[in-house]
Amino acid sequence: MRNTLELVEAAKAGESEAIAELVERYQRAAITTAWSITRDFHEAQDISQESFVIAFRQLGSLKANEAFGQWLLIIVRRAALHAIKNKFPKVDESFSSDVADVQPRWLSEFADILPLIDQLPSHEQEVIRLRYLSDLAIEEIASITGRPLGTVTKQISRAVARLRSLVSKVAS
Amino acid sequence: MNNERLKTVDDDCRDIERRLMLFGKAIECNLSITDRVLEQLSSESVAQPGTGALQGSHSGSLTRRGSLKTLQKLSVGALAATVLLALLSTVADSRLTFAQVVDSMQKATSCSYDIRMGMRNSETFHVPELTGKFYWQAPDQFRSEDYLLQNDGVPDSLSKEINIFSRSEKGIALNTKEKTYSETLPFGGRMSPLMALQNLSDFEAAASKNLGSRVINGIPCTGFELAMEVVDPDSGDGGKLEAWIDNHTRLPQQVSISMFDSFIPVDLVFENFQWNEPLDEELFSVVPPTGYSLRKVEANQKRSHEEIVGGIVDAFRLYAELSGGQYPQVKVIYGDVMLDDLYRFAGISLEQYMAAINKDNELIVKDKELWDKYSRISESTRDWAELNAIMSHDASALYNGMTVAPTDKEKVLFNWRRVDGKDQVIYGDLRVEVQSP
Repeated sequence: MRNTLELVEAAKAGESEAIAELVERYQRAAITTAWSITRDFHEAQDISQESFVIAFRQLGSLKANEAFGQWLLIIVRRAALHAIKNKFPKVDESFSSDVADVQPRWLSEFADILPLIDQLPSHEQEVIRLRYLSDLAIEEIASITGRPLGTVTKQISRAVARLRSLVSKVAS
Repeated sequence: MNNERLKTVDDDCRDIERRLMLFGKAIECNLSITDRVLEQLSSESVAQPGTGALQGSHSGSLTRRGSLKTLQKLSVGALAATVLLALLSTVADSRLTFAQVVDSMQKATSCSYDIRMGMRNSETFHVPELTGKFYWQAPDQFRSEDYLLQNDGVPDSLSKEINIFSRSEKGIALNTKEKTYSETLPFGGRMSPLMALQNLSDFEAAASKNLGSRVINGIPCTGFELAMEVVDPDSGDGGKLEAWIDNHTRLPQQVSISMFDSFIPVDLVFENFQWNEPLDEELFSVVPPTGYSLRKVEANQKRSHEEIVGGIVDAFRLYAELSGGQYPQVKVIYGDVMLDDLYRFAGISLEQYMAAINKDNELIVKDKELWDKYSRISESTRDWAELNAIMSHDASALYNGMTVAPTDKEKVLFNWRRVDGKDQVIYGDLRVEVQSP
C-alpha cells in the first residue's frame, strides 16, 4: 500500500488510481469535518466532493506532498464555512432532532452518538472524528492538527474516557 | 450497504470506541464520493497542476462574507456616488462645489458602474476580487449584479445573483446559474444614508483630506477623502471613502471604500461610471425570464415568524450581555457591524478570530469561556441578518436602541408590521407582544 506522499506524487502525474485512493483515504475525514460545521451530512458530502476537486485541480501548488490531508481539510473547512455563511443556517438545532427528522435511516441508527461527541471540547471532537470516524492513523492526525503525537494520543484517550462517562450518565 | 450488516458484524457491540468505528464505516459505505469526484475530474479534465487553491478558497469565503455587508449597505440600491455629495458638502473648492455636484447628480437620469471588491493585499491574504455591476435609472429603479464565485474563488461573470428592485414596487431576485427567481419586497424601510439620494441635504459630512488632481480614464478629476462613519455613523469604525470627481461634468468617475469586515480589511471600488446613457428597460424588468423557475426554500432553511422573533430577541440579549447592558447604539442595524461589535466586546482578537475560523482550536479553545462567546456570536449571524432585512423592507419598522435599555420594561425596543397586519413588539426587557393596529 502506497503512503500519502507516494500517492500525491502519482496523482500529480495524473494517475487516476492514485486520485481514487486519496479520495478513499480521506473522504471520511473530509465529510465529517464538513459535517462538524454544516451539521448536514448531505451538504457535507457535496462540500467534500467540491473540495477534493479543488484540491486535485490545484495539486501542483502543494509543496509538501505529505501534508495533503492537512491541506485538504483546510479547503474543506473553508468551503463549509463559505457554505453556511451564504445560507445563514440555523445552527442551534439539536443534532438529535436533526438526525431524527431530516437524516436518512442509516444515520439515525447512530443518532445517539452525535450529541455525545458534541459535548466534548472542540479539540477532542476533532481527534475523535479523525481517529474513529475517519480511521486515520495517529501520526496523520498529528500532522493534520499540528499537535505533537503524544498530545494527540492523550487527547484521544481523554475523549474516549469522557464519552464512556457520558454514555454511563445517559444509561443511568 | 445498510447498518444491518454492520450490526451483524458486531451485534453486541456497545463499547463506544467500536460504535464510533462502525459509525465511521457506515459513513464510508453510505456517503462515498470516490466515483463522484473521479467523474467530475474527468468531465472537467482538471487533473492538471495549478496554483493557489488554498488561498483562493479562503479568500473567496471571506470575500463573500464581505459581500453580505456590501449588499446590506451599498449594492442594494446604493448609488454609491451619493456619498460624494456628503464629501463635497463642506469642501470649498473654487472649481467644484457641493451645490454644483448636487445639481449635476440630481439632473442625472441614469447611471451604471462596475464593482470590484476584495480583501486588501497583505502578506497574509491573497485578494481575489468579487465583481459586479450596478444600474440605476431615475427615479428609483435599481439593478445590482453580483458575480458568483467559482470553486477556486474567482468570480464568474456568467453566473450572477441579480436583484432588480425599487423603493415602492415588488422586485425580483434571479440566480442565473440555477435559473431560479424569487420575488422580493419593496425596499421601503430604513436604509443606509448612502442610499438616500433624495436626502442629500441631510448630509453633514466633512472631508478630511483633499487628494488633489488625477486623470482617470483620460478624464481630469479632483479627489477627496473622508471617514465612512461621517457618511454613515452605523457603518462601523475605521472605514474611509475616496472619491474622484470629473472636473467637467461634476459627476463621479471613481469611488473607493476601505472598511473592515470582522477584522478583515476589505476594499470596494466603483468605477467605469456611465452617466446619463440610455439603459435598456429590460434591465429593470421584474418579469421572470423564460426558463426560470421559482426558487424553492428547503424546509430546514425556513423559519417560522416565532422562530425569527425568538432569534432576534436572543441576538439583542447577547448584545446587551456582552456590551455591559446596552443595545446597539445605531439607527440602522447591519449584521456584520453587530458581529464586529460583539467580537470586540468579547475580547476576541484577530488572531483568535482567524484561529476560530480555521478551527485551529488550540489557540482559542484553551479559554472555554471565550470559545463559548465566539460560538454564540457566530450563531447570531442569521438573526442580525433577519433584523436588517426587516428594517430594509418594512417602512414601519422602528428600532429604538439608542434610547431604550434592558431595564426599560415599558419602552418599545423594536417593532415592525407582521405579514398578517399585526404589530410585532419587542420591549426593552425583551418581552414580546403582538398588537392589533
